Amino acid sequence: MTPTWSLNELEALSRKAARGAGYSWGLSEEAGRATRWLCARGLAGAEALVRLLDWRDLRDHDATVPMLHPQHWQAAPKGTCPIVAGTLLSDGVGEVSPLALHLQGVQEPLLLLPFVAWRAEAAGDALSVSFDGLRYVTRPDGHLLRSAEAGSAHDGVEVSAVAAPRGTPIMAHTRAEVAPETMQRLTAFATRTYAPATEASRLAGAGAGLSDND
Amino acid sequence: MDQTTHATIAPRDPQTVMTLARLGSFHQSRLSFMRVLLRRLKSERWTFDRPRFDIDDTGVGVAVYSAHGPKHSYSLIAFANDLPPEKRSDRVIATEWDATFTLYDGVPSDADIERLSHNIPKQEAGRVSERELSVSRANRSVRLWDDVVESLAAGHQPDTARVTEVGYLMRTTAVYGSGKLGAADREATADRPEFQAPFQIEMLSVFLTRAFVMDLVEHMAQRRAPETAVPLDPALRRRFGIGNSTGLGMAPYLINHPILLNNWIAAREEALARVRSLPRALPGTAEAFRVFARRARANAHAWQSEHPLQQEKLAGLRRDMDMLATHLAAADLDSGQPWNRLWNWAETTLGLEGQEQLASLLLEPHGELVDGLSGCMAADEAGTTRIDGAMPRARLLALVEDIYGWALSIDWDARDAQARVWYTSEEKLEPRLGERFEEEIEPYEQPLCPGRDAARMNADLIASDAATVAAFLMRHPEHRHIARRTQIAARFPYAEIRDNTIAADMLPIDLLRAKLSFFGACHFDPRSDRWVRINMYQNAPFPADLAAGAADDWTLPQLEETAP
Repeated sequence: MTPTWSLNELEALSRKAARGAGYSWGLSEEAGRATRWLCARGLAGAEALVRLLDWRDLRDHDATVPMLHPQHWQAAPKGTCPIVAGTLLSDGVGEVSPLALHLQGVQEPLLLLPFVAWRAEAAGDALSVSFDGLRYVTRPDGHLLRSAEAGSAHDGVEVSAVAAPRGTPIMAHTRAEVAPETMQRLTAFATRTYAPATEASRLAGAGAGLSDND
Repeated sequence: MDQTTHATIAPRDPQTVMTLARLGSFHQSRLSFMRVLLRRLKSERWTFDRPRFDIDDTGVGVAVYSAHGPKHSYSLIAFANDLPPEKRSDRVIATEWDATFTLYDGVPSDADIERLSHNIPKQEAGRVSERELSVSRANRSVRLWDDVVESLAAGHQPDTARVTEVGYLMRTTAVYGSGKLGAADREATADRPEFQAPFQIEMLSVFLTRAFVMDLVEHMAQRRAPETAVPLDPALRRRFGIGNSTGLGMAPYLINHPILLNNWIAAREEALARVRSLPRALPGTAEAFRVFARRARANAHAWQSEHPLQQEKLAGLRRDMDMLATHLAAADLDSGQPWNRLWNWAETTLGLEGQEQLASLLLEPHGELVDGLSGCMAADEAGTTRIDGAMPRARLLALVEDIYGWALSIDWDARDAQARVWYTSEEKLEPRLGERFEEEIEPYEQPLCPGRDAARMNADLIASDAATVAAFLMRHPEHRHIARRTQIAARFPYAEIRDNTIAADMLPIDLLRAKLSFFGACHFDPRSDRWVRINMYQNAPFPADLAAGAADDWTLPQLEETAP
């Protein structure tokens, strides 16, 4: 039986792991939320996050921000971070109606999906996301569809408005099914956010005595 | 004068309510989660049974306590242990306890209990499944436990004064819910009416834990001396609550859940505003209120603490309750917006302890007016945190000035202003509070200082030429966390604590008290500036008493019991 984790555990661990890999707290929150969103739809968000953190670990934020043109987000010098590009999308950057955007050089494009869905919900539009020959459609009511049409074959990610969302609905999952090795790799990143314990902090930092015999 | 139309009173300004000193003076009320739970168990006629109680002479074994509601049953599975004294620690870093518990979704099979017997006693080192809703543990109060077992075994009741002094036989040291250790997420059961209000799973778990602990102590006395042992006198039995040791771990919770915090405070403030707005007293409420005020005065006099900070607060509370009694002797509570007049008197006369006690007391005779607000206290925190990137930068700047104006006037370069660091220790992942200028912990700082973060963002907002929040955050990802908080606080007025949470003189117990008052805890007793003991369900009915007795009249002492 595949071990399962609660979605809250998965989100908390993902958030801390992202912080451990060098993201700001605000972006780490987005990474945690995005990973939860993917796992709650049975998609391999935790695995994508681990690969992203391995990549991000050696880079500065500024080197991962795409260069924005009206219908084309040019790859960042070191490759575009999907959390950075995703937050730009969900924050509402790229106000072109109807939206038709080509993103180049995005790492782990699966992680863009939740941000596009949040944008779709906020804007009340259906949006399609295609990458690696796959195509998903996010409806304004928050539902995710897997489209039967092939996604864009060429390099990059296409995000565009669709008039009539069609596809197979992806069912909600109440648990995160993630291999223990993946959780261990996330834990290794998360551990970087914990201060090594000292006897002084053990006593003073928490403030309690050690005995409960009264 | 009664024909005068009175203005509707607005809820209090968040700037007034959300200071640490005031939050640290909160008292339990009708909207506290223990009371919400017991009212529901009573009104829906929940039934209770004990399908299993296998505890041996040494106190080791398993017991199951089930609660049956209209649609669902829940069972507390208790694993009792015989713990040597040297292993008894109430720190979160302990590894063995006198008893460990889980609240199971349904009635467990033998296979479930077998599975859980390998995990629950290990607590953080174990794993549970989505059939489990909480995980918790408790230690005995050794002195009182031995005392009670010996007395009952010898055929007589324990000394009432001793029982009153300690107040509980076991205290919990952690009650984990909402997905911790693999348990079900809150979202998985949030659509059940019984779990609509916050922390109902945890409160039900502790309510059943209390029943187990009382059965266990009587069982141990019986096993020790089958010929002579007697059960506890029912009136004395009710004087036992469940203790709770709460440390720093809970303090960041309120900061980490701004929308939830808002909904708790907003419900209480709306309740207070509704009562204050009444043009005249509803039938019977003036006399009922006078009785509650006398009971609260008795409670203030009975409430003991050894901690100097709390002793000072208690002296203030007693003084306030005495002044309230004097004032009520002559006050007209019938007409001319009487509760608002009383409130206005209190705001200019009483200290924070007395004012907040009065806020809770004013709700007491007004259940029909305020109890429904408990349905507004939960928060869907997943759906409401998208940043509005289209917001103009100037608008965010104005919000910062409005919400964090208090923080913009603090000199954040002063050592005392940022003396503390909230961090997480590697050991058991326990939240801690350290000294920024004495320990090497700043790199591990958690985002639990919104005031300083807002001041930092404010400086960059002023210097930026970005048109929108999205453009600003693209260049300043370090402000994304506080930008989100600001936008949340703009929509949820009580979401943010309006005080410096990393100041040299900040008291973590203020945060603990605010949270525990919403749980319904009584007799808050700090052991330092950062951990606290409380009593839960003291004087409350037991599960078997709910059908025939009152469910919601136990938090303040009855007058004949404790006259000041």
